[in-house]
Amino acid sequence: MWTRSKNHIDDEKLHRVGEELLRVFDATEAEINAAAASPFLYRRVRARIAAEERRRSEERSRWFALLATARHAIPALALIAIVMAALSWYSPLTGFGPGTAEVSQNGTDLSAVYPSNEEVIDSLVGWRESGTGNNGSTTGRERR
Amino acid sequence: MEPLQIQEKTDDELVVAARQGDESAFSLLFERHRRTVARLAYRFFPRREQVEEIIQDSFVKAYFALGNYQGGHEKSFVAWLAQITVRTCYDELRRHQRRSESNIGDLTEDEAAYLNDRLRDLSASANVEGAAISRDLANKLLARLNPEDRMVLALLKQEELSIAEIAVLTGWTPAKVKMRSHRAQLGLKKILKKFL
Repeated sequence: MWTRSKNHIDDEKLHRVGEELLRVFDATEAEINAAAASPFLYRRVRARIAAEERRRSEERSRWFALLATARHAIPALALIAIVMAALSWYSPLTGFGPGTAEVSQNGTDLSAVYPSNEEVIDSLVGWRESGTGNNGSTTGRERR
Repeated sequence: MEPLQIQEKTDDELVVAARQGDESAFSLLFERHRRTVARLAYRFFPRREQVEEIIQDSFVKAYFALGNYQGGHEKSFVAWLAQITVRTCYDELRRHQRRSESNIGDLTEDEAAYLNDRLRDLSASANVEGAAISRDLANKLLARLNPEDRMVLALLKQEELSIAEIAVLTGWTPAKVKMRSHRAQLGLKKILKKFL
C-alpha cells in the first residue's frame, strides 16, 4: 500500500514537473513581439517568394524546352516507324505482305513456295540414280 | 487601392486581392498575422532565429497556397494559417531531429546537475538569465521526445487546444491525437524520471 501511494506521489510529481517544464519553455510577449517585428522580415518573405516563383518558372520552361525538342523529333520518329512497319509488312518470313497474302488465299502455305526436306532428298536421290548428269560426266564413286 | 480602404478589408477580401496580384494586400495579411505565427512557432523552438525562419516559411507556403484557401467565417484565415504554421513547425522538428540525432539531448554533467536542481523547483526561476537557461535545458529535454509527441504536447498543454482542434490543425484523426497525447505524456514522465 505504501509502495502504491509512493508511486502515486511520484506520478503526480512527474506530472507537475512536466507541466512546469512546458511552462518554462513558453516565450514571453516581448520575445514574441521582437521576433514578429524583426526588421526586413517581410522583405525576406518577398525575396523567398520571388526566388520560388523564379524556380517554378524555370522548371516550367525546362518542360517546355523538352516538349519543343520532342516536337522536332516527331517527324524523324514517325519516319522510322513507317520504315519499320513497311519492312515488317514486306518481309516473307513473317507471313505478311502482298505475295504471301495471295498464297494464303489460294489455300497453299509457305511450304509450297519453299521446297520441303523430302523434296530436297528426292531430288538428290534422283540425281545420284541417274549416274551421269545431262552433260555425260560421271561421279567419283561410279568411276571407282 | 487607397491605404485606408485596404486597412478596413477583411482577411477574405485581402486574400482575393492578393490572389489577383495585389502585393499590398498580402503585405497587410502578413502585418496582421505575423504575431500569431511567431507565438505558435515559439511553442516549438526556443531561439529567435528559428522562429523567424518559421515565420518566413509559413508565409511563403501560405502565399503559394492562397488558391486553395476557401474562407467563409471570420477566423478561418487565422485557422488556415495556423494549420500551415503547425505543419511547417512539424517538418522543421523532424528535420532538426534527423540532423542532430546523435548529439540531441546529450547533457553535460553540470547541465544534468543544474537540471536536477531546477526540476525540483522550476517555478523559482525568477531572474531572466535563470529562465533562459531553464528554457534551453527544457528544450534539450523536450528534444528527446519524437516530433509527433512534441507537437501534441505543445498544442495540448501550451496552446491549450482541444483534441478536435489539434486534429484539424494536424490533419490527424481525433483517435490518433488522443493516443499520441497519452504516449507523449508517458514519454515526458519517463524522461523526467531520469533526472529526479
